[in-house]
Amino acid sequence: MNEFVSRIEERKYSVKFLDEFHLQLNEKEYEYSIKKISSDSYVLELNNKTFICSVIENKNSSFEILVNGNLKKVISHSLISDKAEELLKAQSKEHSSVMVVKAPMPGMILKIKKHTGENVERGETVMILEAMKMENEIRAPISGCITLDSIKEGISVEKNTKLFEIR
Amino acid sequence: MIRKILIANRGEIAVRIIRACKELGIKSAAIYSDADIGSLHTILADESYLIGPAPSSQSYLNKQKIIQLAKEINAEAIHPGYGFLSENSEFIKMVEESGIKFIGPSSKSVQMMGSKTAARSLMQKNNVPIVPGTTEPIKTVSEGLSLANEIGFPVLLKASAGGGGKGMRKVYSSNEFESAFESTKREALKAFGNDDIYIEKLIENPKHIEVQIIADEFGNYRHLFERECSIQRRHQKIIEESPSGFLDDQTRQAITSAALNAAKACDYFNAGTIEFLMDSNKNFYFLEMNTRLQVEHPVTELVTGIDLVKEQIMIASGEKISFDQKNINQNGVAIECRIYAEDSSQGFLPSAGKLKVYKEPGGPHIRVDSGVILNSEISVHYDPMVSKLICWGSNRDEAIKRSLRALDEYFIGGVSNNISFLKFILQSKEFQDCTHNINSVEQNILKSFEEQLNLNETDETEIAAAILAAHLKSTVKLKVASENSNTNRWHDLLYE
Repeated sequence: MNEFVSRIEERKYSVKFLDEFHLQLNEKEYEYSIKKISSDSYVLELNNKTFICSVIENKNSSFEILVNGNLKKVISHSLISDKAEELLKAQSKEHSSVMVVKAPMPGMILKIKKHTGENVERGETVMILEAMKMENEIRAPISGCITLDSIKEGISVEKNTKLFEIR
Repeated sequence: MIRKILIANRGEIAVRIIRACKELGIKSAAIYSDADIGSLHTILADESYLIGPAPSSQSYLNKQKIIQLAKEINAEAIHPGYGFLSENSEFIKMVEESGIKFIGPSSKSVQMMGSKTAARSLMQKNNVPIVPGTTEPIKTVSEGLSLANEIGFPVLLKASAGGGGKGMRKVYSSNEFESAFESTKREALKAFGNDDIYIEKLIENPKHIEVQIIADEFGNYRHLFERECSIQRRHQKIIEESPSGFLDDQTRQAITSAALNAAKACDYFNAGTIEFLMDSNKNFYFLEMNTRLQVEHPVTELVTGIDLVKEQIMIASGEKISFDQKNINQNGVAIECRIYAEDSSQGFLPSAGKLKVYKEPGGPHIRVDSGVILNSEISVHYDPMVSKLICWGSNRDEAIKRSLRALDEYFIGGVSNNISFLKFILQSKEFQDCTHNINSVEQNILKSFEEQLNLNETDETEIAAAILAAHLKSTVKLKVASENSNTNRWHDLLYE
């Protein structure tokens, strides 16, 4: 009941609250206390080290938390729902997984470096979006095969316009 | 004496100028676009006026409207800050003709330094070393090729009207020359409406060293020593410092007197900066002159103790420079880090949005110049610079350590930032040894930074985040549970 799994990028943290002052994180025991200081701010004490945390986003199970100035994106589930999520993910992986990349801001497509049908590695630049007076590289979030629909060099895009798909 | 200044800019530099006005007892008038309603510079100024819609072309670049406003509100002077209209000689001419004082150089000086080829020949005539190359635009490929052979490869083809790293091409051998020549011409025409290009020797891996100068309208010229700005990404400066850890006294003497020659050559007055490239043998070459206040001016202020903006205003009021050259020294070391709203873990994508958390660092010898406060909006319409951190130390090592300490004290939430990248640069061996050059970031530092990103290191703040998220998840559950029981209880009570 009081066991949770928090995931940050590919790292997994199993958190078990033992009592009001003690918890286990990945099997290691910590002394802790959490105090709410405003609607979205908390003071966390962990083995006599103090952290100030601001919850910037809290949607279902996905959190954006600023801890002493460092932004962390955390997905947290109860142990049971984490297991369920993993199962679902494994199932959907057997079907095709498609990643849609959208424009992070309004701008103009300056250059397209990868075209439909090409394979890209994670982190490779797919296109260059000119916005905020800067040329911005739009990179592939995963490795796979690119599909560009109606995106061409020179066109303007709004925020969240679909740029390409990787499968 | 000037009684009211209109500040034709926004963000941190508008705030910087307002601060100088207040300390001098001068009224400040801010302008703002629709996107900047309620932003810090509008709050701090004595008066603020909506100038137009968010796009710069209709607001901060609207020459007629700005001058008309200045007249209406009886502003006696306009301070342009940097960027926007600061180096627009047409605007400066319009201001001069309107009878309002422009806080900066004359339109004539700006025009003389605006064309790269004209500036190069002017510098050559006035004993300022220029990069070997042509001072006149090149007409034909064959003319260019013979010149390139004379100068010696590698060479750089540059657009006369270019700037900011655009319209430049490196050529390493004669057989690449023709195609490079044609494409640079095409690019120059497209970007600047003028296809004049010229050739320079390519100085490989130079440092960027610039000299701050200031002059009054009585022909007094002073320099405020150098700044090194070699840490750049895509021709954009990220970290600047004064003094440069690379210069010796002899070179310093030579480069500052060359800078004064450059300023005198164009009858310059007010604050300006002469940029040079310096090779590994400490030979230096004129790059360009920036006829305005620079983003990185605070590092000079911290080591010399001179307030450059106040000095600019006093000079525009018809006063003489307030100090003698012999009384100006470089005391300690100052480093500036530019905090950008960009995600250094995602290819430096700029990030727009609301600053939901914002806390600036403090403590001894820390200066923060910013134009934002909590809940400020970082808009897609303008430069994504959030804040500038300038740290002073009695020596370079202390200044670096202080900068690292202060960067850790920034709390920025709601938009991404480049703080982890700034820290990585400050800790790199190249920066610490002062062997870095203008290509270091893109050739070495960026690569090792991105490798480090993939290492997936866990830090203690991550553990804290993992625990808090789990805690929030557990309290949501409790709340649902208690609400349920309340309903049941109410239900029970009803039927009692």
